[in-house]
Amino acid sequence: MDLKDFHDIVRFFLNKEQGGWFSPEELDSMIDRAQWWFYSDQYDVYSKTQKIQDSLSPFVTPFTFVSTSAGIVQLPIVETVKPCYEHLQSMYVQYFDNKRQIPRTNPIKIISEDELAERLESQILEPTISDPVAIQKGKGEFQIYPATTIAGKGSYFRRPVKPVFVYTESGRAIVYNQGLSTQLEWAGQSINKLIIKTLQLCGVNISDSMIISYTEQKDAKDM
Amino acid sequence: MAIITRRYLIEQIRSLLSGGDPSAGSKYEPRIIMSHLQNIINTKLKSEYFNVTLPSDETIPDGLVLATYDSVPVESYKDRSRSRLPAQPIGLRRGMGIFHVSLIDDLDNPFIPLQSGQNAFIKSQNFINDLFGQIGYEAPSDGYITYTVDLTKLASPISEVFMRLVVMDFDKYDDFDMLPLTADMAEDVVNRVVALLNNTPPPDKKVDSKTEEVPQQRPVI
Repeated sequence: MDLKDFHDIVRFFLNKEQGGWFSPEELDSMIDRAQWWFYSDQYDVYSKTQKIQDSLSPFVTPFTFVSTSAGIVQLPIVETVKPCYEHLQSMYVQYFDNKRQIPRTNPIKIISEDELAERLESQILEPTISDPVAIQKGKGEFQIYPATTIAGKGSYFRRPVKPVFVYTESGRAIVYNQGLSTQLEWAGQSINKLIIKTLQLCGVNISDSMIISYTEQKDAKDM
Repeated sequence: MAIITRRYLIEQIRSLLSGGDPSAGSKYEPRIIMSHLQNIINTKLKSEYFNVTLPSDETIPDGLVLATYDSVPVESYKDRSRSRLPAQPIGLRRGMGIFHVSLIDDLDNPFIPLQSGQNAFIKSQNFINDLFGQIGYEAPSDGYITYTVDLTKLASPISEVFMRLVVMDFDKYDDFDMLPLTADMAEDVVNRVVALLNNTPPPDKKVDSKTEEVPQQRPVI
């Protein structure tokens, strides 16, 4: 859905309910907050159904990596630059099977810090180049063990881009510039929920029992 | 039928335990499964020997898994020499777990197995005290077998020997090598490992956790 249509729908309900005015910038901020709220809800139940998987699929970002000689992998975390890391989905090592002369893969398990010491000394599960483990050191930063240069692939959920409604003013009229605007990235099936969450954040009283129960029922069904 | 490899057995077990594709966070680690597989296969080999091979008046562990080690190092030890066993074999009668030890280039002349302390007794017997020129070895202690002579000080010094052990030694195979398992054995070992691991408690997830937590698993669609 085009951002202008989204703004128009939100404004329609806002005017209807409270007659208030939100500038495009304020609305963009509300929409961004609302999409975080929705994103977080969806992440909690990701892959429970295909429908939920579809709703977050625009944000799945594959990556390839070569860790530093100390085994560090840093994913992008600058919020204003797309893609910006949010949640790790998977990480796997790629190594070469010299005996059969083919490349192979193995998942990298992300373990807790308190499990690390045990792992490093383990007789059975000691990390190896073909079967490494990792701990998360910070946002988007992973320390792989054995701490050496390892190549692999993976995927993570990136941050949804913040919508930006670009416009010019002509007298009292707002002229929307679609080309320069930053659109929402959500698939069509998620837009209605985003609208409702935006309206809630804008203070529209959606405590109307009918609307609330309807949306909750819908959510429950979807999950 | 696919060939039976370590990976093949592990996949079957993980699939049964996880109810489908295991996630990267699965508590059923492949290498842990492999260690249990190895234990169970070796236990089964032993029971097969005692329940099937011996009752048929046969003592040779035919059909069991023989792990071959082409070059096991020999080191000088006191007035003799010894070799560290590359793996701990199954405990069978008369030290049959160490199935064969010989020179690398003379496989048809295996060394003579002796029981612990038997060499001292043989040495006191004039007629056989040199084993008629053959080489013997005594049953293992501390993971070593001890030869009756110092192989490293012979006219043609020997630094390595050929060995066959009755054991399933997974370290000898990589994930995609065919395992020397009989076809009928695979299903049984898979079932036994699954039964063993199926009752493991959920893992502790936090340092300060006071209660067991339900393992985090990918929800089933």
